[in-house]
Amino acid sequence: MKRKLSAKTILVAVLVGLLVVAASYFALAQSQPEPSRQSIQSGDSDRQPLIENQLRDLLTGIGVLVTPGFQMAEDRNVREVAIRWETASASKTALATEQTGGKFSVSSSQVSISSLPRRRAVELAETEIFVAAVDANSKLVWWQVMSDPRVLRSEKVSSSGEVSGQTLYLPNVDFSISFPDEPNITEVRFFHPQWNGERFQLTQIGVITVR
Amino acid sequence: MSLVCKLQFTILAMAIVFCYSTASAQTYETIINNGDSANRVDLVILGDGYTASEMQKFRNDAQTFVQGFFAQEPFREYQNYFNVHRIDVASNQSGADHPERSVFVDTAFGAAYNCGGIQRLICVDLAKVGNTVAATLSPAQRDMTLVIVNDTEYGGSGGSIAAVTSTHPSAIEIILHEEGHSFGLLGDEYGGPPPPDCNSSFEPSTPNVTKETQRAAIKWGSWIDGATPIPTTSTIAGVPGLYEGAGYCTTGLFRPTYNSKMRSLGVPFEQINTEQLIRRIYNLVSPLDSSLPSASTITVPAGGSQAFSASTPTPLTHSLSVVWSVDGQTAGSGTSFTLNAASLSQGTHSIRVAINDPTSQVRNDPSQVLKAQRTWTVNVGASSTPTVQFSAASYSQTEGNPGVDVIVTRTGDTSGVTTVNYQTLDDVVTISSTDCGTVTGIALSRCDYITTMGTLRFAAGETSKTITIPLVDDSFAEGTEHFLVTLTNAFGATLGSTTGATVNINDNESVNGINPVDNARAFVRQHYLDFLNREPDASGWDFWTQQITACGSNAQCNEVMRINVSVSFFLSIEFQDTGYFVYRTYKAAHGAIGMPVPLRINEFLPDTQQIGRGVQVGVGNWQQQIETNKQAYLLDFVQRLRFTSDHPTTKTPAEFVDRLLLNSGVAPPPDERNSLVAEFGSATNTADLAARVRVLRRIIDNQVLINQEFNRAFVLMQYFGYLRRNPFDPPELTLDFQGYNFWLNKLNQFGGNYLNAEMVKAFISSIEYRRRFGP
Repeated sequence: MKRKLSAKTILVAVLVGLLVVAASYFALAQSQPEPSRQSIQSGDSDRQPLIENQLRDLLTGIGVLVTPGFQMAEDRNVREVAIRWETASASKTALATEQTGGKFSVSSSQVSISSLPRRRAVELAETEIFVAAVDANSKLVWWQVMSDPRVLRSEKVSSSGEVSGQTLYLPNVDFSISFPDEPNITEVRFFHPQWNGERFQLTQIGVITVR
Repeated sequence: MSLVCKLQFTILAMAIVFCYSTASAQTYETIINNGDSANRVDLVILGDGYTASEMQKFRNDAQTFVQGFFAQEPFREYQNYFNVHRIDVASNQSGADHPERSVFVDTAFGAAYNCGGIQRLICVDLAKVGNTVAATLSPAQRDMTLVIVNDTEYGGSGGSIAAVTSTHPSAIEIILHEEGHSFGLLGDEYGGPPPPDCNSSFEPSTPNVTKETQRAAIKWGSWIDGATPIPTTSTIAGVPGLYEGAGYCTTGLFRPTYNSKMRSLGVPFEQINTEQLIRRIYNLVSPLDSSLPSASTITVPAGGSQAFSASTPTPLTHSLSVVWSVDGQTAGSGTSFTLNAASLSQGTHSIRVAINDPTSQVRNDPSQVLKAQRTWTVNVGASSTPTVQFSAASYSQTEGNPGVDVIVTRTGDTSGVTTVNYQTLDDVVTISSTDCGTVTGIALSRCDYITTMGTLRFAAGETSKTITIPLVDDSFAEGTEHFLVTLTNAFGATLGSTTGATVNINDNESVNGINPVDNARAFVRQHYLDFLNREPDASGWDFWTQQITACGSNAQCNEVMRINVSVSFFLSIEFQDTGYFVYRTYKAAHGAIGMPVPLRINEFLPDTQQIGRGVQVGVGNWQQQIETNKQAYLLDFVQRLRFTSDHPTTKTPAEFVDRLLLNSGVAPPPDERNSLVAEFGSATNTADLAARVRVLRRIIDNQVLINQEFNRAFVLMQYFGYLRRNPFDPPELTLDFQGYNFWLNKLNQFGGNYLNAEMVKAFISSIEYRRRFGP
């Protein structure tokens, strides 16, 4: 009797196991969203000359060419690259004031079918990073502005509601960027916008090689 | 936080922990969906320190934040410009780390107070947050990220994650202030003492801080009333002026109002900051959402007309202005416009729609982001070539009706024959979930309608054709959803401007109902749609339904009969002669190189529909109809690029035959093989189209192939039919054929006995299948 019971127990366990395996094949899971199919025009192509001029003003003299009639690359296939940015030696880990430059290294890279956010004007701040994807001839293929991943703002409130605080910088950060998986993109360059009282000037702070 | 990460934390005595982990996609819900993420500001909310049993608390906290965020201007007025996604990630333990009192908890993103020795500063594992968001949402769906930390002590941080905040009562105000920085690029409007140091040596870049004291040079000068003194010393709220003390300088730098949210919490942003935030919203959101026709150059016959439309996002209390012009002359306003070509000369004309947000809250828009326009070139001319297009740019039907009729019209000279291809498409631009129950506004072919495609043929004199697209009556309360239908490849006509149409499905539920697939009649209808690509005929529908309902309340009988009825559709002559015929065609033509099955669902569906068109076994001369369809299909198939590439006509007949046999895995006796070669007669190449078809057909109908592939096709059709996807598609966890192979091995192990293998049972009772129709 005891032996029979054990066999039954094992059988039940096997069946449960099978059910679990089977269930795993059908488990409801959320997945990367499906691709974007841009079937409808939003009219933003009319803004391209304005953006082209803004980009030319910004990028002239820093080694990135903005060709006449510049159009952003299509973004159906999107490459997402995880990057580690180290601005201090490994032993230096404390929050600090801003460090310039540093080392950019690619942690991972993958391609998916997706869509990218687009800016309708070039607007910068010193707490942002300008990202330029260029081809082998340093021609601009795609651009984006992203928050500087090193920035940490710490603010407190007084009893009267007044705010005060400070801006700190992480010495080493991991972040990701997404850009069109265009075969002609060879490099992605990172620039820090610096305000001189009249306009922003870009200083290159890093680069990753795509191909 | 993993043990490894915790160890690093302790050793480094540092609040920022870098744990390299490959995050997987997490469950998420789009809690506010106002449209395509490509043209919306998308806010992502995550929680840290919420255990699985506290997820409802997280949802409530997130909801509280959302309500608070959109209660304040300008986010209130422009709330329809935002989408909000909530990602649910459970932590192993509740709360956050407090290193200052040696409290460490195991949370998903490692939230820790006292970051860098500043008690109020909460840091999280940025890499983990970034990986989780990236694995779950597309880049266009993550414009701003917020992390809510399940701890009531005051704390937070701003930065690349727009805000990290505790659940302290002042959290929403802190978040809004931080959004002012990270989203609005606004500066702080408070003064000293340091840190940070005061620097008033040159004009700041931020739009709300200046060192200018000349009225004309003040960047927000257009907001300052001429009677307001400069500098301004008033303490009245909301009066634009020049108030000393800003940008960490008590003197030497000025702010626009006496107080604002960039200086104090609990007060409005005020005019200048609001203006900047609106401009920032429009930096991501075009005031023109979409416009039709999609083609930018269109032809309209002389005397004809053409409909244009534009859709815009909608602010809460005002509307955007939409103005149409023809050749530079204003011709209309509103979201739709009809061009009457009778009033235009033959030739080229320009149609333009200009959108503008007339809000009084923005006085300066140097980058013109509050405007958008689109231009079409219209060629007006006489044309004898007929035009085919949809009769309307959108169609609607209420869920619960069997289908929606979409009409294609032919205008102009209709004396000849015209053909045009049609196809339904998911409008996947803003798909935020593969779960049929998620409210996205997007109808999915897997959940809401049946993929429908084919070729319309207008005979001489015919001017209109109707495409009926079956709809699925699910029980999700999901609001109105839409999908697309397109026209392509017209022969004997040119495509008109309306080659794409939107089909809206109006929901018939206000709350989620009982899963309809449990209803025998609905279950049977779905099988007709999924396996036979047609609505059920009355007698067949009744027959198969009665097979199940005859069980009454006998649950075991009911389960077995549902399985048997379900399998009957795969085994039916109608499916074997359509779906399985297509499977064998691909197997013989191309083998199964690179994967264990010979075709994908996007190849299977159109081909199966092509063979099954007009066929209903038992009705009329269905045998002749299916034979005619098969012949036409194979004649088309052998002329497709893939077939002609794999089997160039320069091949000898023997090479051609041997390759098809190799693909099929069939080794017939020599005389049978030779008779296949002989289909080409004495030819030395395989250019004879009819012979190519005959050889392919004979191999497709080879009984060895039919038997050999049966189980493989049976398993594959579980995926195609029930789950409406490839075996390797998401949500398949491993994104490969492990699941397919599991079931194939099991079916083979049980000698093809699907009941003992429990295969069909597993598929029709799976969560994935059931969630196609209801909760």
